[in-house]
Amino acid sequence: MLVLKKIMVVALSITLPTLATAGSFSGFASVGVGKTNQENAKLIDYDATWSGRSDSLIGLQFNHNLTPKLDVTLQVLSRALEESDRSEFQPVVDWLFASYQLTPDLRLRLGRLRTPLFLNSEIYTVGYAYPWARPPLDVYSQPITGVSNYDGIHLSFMKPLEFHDLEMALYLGQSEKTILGQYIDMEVLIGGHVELSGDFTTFRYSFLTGKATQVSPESGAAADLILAFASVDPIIIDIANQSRLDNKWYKYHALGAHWDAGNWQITAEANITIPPSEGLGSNIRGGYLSLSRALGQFRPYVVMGHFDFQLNDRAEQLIFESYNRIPPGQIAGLDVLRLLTLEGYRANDYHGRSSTLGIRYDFHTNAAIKAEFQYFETGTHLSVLTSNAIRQESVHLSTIILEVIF
Amino acid sequence: MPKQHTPLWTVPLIILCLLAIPTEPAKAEIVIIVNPNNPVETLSERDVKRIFLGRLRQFPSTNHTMDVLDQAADSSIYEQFYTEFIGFGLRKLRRYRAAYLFSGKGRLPTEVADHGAVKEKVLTNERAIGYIDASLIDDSVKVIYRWSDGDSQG
Repeated sequence: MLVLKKIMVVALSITLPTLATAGSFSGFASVGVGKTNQENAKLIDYDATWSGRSDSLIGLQFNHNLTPKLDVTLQVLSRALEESDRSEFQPVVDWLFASYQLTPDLRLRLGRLRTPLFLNSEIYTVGYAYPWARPPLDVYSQPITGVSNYDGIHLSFMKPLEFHDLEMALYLGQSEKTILGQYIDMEVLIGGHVELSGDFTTFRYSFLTGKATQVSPESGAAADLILAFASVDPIIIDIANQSRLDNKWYKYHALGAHWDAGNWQITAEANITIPPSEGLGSNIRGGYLSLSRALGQFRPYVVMGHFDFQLNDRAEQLIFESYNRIPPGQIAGLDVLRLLTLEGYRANDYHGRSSTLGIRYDFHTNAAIKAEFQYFETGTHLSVLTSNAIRQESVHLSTIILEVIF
Repeated sequence: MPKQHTPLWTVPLIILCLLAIPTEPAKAEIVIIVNPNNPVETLSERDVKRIFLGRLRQFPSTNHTMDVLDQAADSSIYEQFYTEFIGFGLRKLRRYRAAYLFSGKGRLPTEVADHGAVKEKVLTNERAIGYIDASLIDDSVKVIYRWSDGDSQG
């Protein structure tokens, strides 16, 4: 993958001077404020005080056609929200790629790209392009934040059919990211999708598999503590290893449908994340149904979603197995650790539902404002998006956001 | 000679006839034009829609690359072309194009000032394709598709 990084550097050195002189320039921005209804419930970094950090961002894009078949694109994103691997408003290269039209049907892209897992994955940061304040978190949460970009190649094939256009894409690359203190490295990432799009409808199935290594301070510390008892029985090492993920294959599948005719717009998506059978991993299922209707410049919408999160239960099985081999009462320290580990795993299994009501107002050719109210039943499911979420039975989130393109 | 009165029954008839006269200005007949040296002779309705929505990047029969031209976004022909022919309202079009552009799918059409600017570009660029009012066509451009309010032909 070092080769890919070298290609990126070369592409950047070629692209930037060219773009500066002859490219076209465009951009988008979001300025959002939001708050939850509870002091101790932080959702996507919003708390009970109005704050403008989580959704505010600016993106700048340069495009240049080097030849009629060869384009280069650079998109730099600056977000107000501080992350583990970047400071507040630190610009990050979100897209940087060269695109070559091999044949009328076949296009090759090479560089840094967004992982096209869901219908809105590639435009997740471009709020103007979708009706909501942000794509529904029931689907667009951890699976996408961990692997939102990759460095690699993307080959797409487009074929007109009688009523729809068929697009098939395959991509290969690698991704490395630190999010909420967790280091996620996809040493190899392979994905693809099949999409049928017509005048009013879009259907998409996509898949992604990646050889993942995940390191988090908490799970690493837990594993180290358990390993202190490694000499007692080999099963202890197996239990400790369940707190780590080291070069194991994760799998993602997603289905999406979008219908946009006249004033009505309906979107539905569902996804499933399948963790490796061993090691730290979570089985995630999510889905949503969104309905909106244009009323002149206004577009009210409603979204219903659900989210299931279950940590790999292999560790629990091993702990129960260890009770047969090392019965409780023999080693007090190990007993406490086993109990805490079991509690930790159970606490991380949760099911949530969300309901969203919002309205978009296109008050200008290139600008819209949205106001959104969300109700999360078992708000815990959003803890995947914030480092210090406190579990609540229900949480409300209100957001007002201004979206601009230029 | 006795004065001849207009029969009373003709009054509602005249009103009906007046009502039947269209009050809206006539819609432009739109044509898709290319350079006369472009080997493409005709395009289907679907291909034209695909081209202006960025789903078709090369001329279908010749595989030549293309430079797509748009008229000014605030012009009446732009609105008519996209809302009535392509079938995208302007808000939907702006959302679609924002998604298209910022997801790196490709370039947007080049916007030029008016019909004359489209013709001029087409005249000087063999890869160019644009739309103009049918009343403005002449020998300097080749028509490969014609559309008039619900009636179209390749």
